[in-house]
Amino acid sequence: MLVRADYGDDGVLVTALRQGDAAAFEWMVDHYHGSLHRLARNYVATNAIADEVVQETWLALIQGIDRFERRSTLKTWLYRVLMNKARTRGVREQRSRPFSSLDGDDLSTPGFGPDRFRPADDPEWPGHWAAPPTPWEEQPDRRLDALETLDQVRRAVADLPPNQRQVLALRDIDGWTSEEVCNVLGLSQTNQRVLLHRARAKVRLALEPAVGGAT
Amino acid sequence: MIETDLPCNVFVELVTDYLDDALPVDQRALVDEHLAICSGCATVLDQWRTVIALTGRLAEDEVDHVDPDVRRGLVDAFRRLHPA
Repeated sequence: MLVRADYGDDGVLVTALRQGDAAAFEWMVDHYHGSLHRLARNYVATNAIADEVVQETWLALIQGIDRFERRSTLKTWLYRVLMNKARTRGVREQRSRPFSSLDGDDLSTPGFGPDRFRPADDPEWPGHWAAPPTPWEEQPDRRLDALETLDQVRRAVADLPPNQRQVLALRDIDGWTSEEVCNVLGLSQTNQRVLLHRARAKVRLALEPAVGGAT
Repeated sequence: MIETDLPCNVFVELVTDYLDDALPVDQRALVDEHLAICSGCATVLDQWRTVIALTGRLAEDEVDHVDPDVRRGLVDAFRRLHPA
């Protein structure tokens, strides 16, 4: 094919795969393999098992593409197949992780506990800032474009509980919509946003100056 | 104080919903009014956007570590079942 097809268009992609366009399949592998592996890894014990789960998922696509009914996008279908396989493997290994929205910390947004705000009986401004945040641009030695900052973000994401990390990764790294994430992970919109909000709050907190400084 | 104003401790719980445009219209209007007068909350919103943008840059990490042998094996399997 001389003109590179627009594989981002689901109709084009499915048709190309059915016609045996290997470039379309390569495009999919290059786009989704890393992300599929990361998702599988949340459910199974080792990288090697995650490799197998991703491999089986690709084979399911290769074998199933002719019967794909286009009731969802191919991407959503692919990730659902992966989730089913990963969960099955995880259960077999006693490693299934329920997708709850809370992870044992208190209910306020991390970094914004009650001490940052005036009390409810404040005569003037109940619930308003007692200790407002300082804009990062105004903090000395703060360079948001520094590689060190990106390292802090990477570590903060790695430290998140798996369910929060997964939602954050699909939304903010892979750029999925909230509908796609809910669809694939089987979450309600509300739960999805609670997980995302807490995950972002923890990454934000990791970028604040060292513990003890004003945030 | 202004009766309709939104307290800052409520805003910090709503940042993600606000950015997803998932708030009911009347609540969104309250947030917009509040942001216009509260520099602390405007700072939080800015920081949320910065966090989202920085996290997005981690996508560069994933380009891309498909093992070349694995990739070749998969493409071969595709070609066997779907001859062009």
